[in-house]
Amino acid sequence: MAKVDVLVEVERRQRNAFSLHGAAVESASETFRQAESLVEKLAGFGLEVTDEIPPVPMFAERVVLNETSGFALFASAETNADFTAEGIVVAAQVERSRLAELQTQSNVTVWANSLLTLFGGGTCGGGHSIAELEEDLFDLAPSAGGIDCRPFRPAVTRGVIRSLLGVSSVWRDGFRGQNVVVGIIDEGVNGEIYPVVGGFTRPDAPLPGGAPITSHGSMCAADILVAAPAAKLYDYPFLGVPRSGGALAMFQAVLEQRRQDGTPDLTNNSYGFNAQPAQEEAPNHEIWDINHPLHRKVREVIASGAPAFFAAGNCGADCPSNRCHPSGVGPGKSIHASNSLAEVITVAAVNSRHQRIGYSSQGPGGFERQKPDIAAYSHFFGNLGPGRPAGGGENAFDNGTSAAAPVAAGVGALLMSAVPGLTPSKLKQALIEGAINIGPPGWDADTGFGVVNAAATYTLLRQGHV
Amino acid sequence: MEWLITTKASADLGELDSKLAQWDCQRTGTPPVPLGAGEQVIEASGPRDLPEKARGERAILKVSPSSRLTLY
Repeated sequence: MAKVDVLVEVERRQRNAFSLHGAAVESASETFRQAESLVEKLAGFGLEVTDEIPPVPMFAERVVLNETSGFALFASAETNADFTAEGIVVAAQVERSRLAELQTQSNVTVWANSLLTLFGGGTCGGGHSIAELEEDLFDLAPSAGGIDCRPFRPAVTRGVIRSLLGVSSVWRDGFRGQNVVVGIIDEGVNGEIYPVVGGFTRPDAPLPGGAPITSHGSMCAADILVAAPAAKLYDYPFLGVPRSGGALAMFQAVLEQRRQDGTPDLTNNSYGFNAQPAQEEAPNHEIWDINHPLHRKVREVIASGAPAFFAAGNCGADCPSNRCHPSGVGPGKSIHASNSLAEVITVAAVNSRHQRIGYSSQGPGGFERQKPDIAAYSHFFGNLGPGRPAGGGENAFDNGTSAAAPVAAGVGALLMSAVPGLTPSKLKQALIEGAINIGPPGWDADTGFGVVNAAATYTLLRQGHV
Repeated sequence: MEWLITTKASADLGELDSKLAQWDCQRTGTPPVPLGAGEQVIEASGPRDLPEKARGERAILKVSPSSRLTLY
């Protein structure tokens, strides 16, 4: 009878799984011993283990993806503790006629062990593979701006974004955002995957960290951790429909926490308005009234020493979000309300090629003319995408100025961990001076003073130039 | 329509509730948010013309909309 190659996954908690696997790698006899022990109870199926691969430990996703105690720790140069596996995969052969029966066994999953083909010269959508992008980061930047509109350029990995941001120069000195807490005012963050350590609590409100992994706030969390993987997070979820009243209450909660212990150190705000009501009809609207209580509260929080990063908005003229009302689309009409306050850091969106993403809202701002202040990267696999916590294929990626703002906030957190005593105004000035200008010299309405860069900003701060 | 009403921090909320009720307006359940030195903000639901109705009312310093936000 013909036998087929299979991978048999046996559910089994296995402590010190890496060490055990290492022993099997070292010795073929140990590979057989472990494999046969694992499939002992399946002897009646005529299963023949092979020495093709040593038994491979499999880990629970909740363990793997945990940003503080999971496999992300392996990025450090230090040896990490061993882990406990939830299952082990063994390579084996079995008669095709026994496959169906084998698949019905409890605590066992049978997978195909198929031949692979090596692809040559693979490309990623727009003609450049991720490997090529990583090699030619800045060479790919256009010399005179450029716009990315639908269908958008392919997304890239966090590694590409980290390289573009130049975080390694700060990381090399030992700083990764540790001892800095970022407050995320949004629809809630998933605290099983992301390091939520506090936030807004009230008896009738969900606990901080209780949001699903697919939440908008979880995307913001992932994007803060791009530059500052050791930062902690506070979760300030809008209660029900997001309104300026809810944002006001969350900023008050931020202020109260800061009063108690000086945290959170900064906030991220990836929300705003998508329309501009006529001023004569709504003079007290948040867009027109700079002394609206929400704006006053935002200024209070910044005055307490916590920088506030705000997304510019997704109503740029070239390919605005379909949620934008025509009254709020394009230059001079799409950055307003708190997002345009002089005191906040307003962030536009660019892709990994330093092209402005066509939906990124454009200045001048409603209150402060020179908005956005800076740009940051969007369209990368952060929370969404292959192998990322929220999952999805290559067409699922972190997007919007909602992703760009927390990337910049993560750079802010990284710098605050490295340079004690950074005030909101000093951080903002440093980010502006360290930015890579991609438009006309100085400020422009599309990308502000340029694309945020951690390495340059860090150098300016260390050398006392800001 | 949702509103944010700024009052003196010392304002009598019981009296304010009575006044709001006359205007077909009521506070939502959220606690008042302190603002600056000596002010507070109260969330309320009420008619579109609440700013006009509240004009001249000494306990009320300002009436602002609580508009719906969009996640970018």
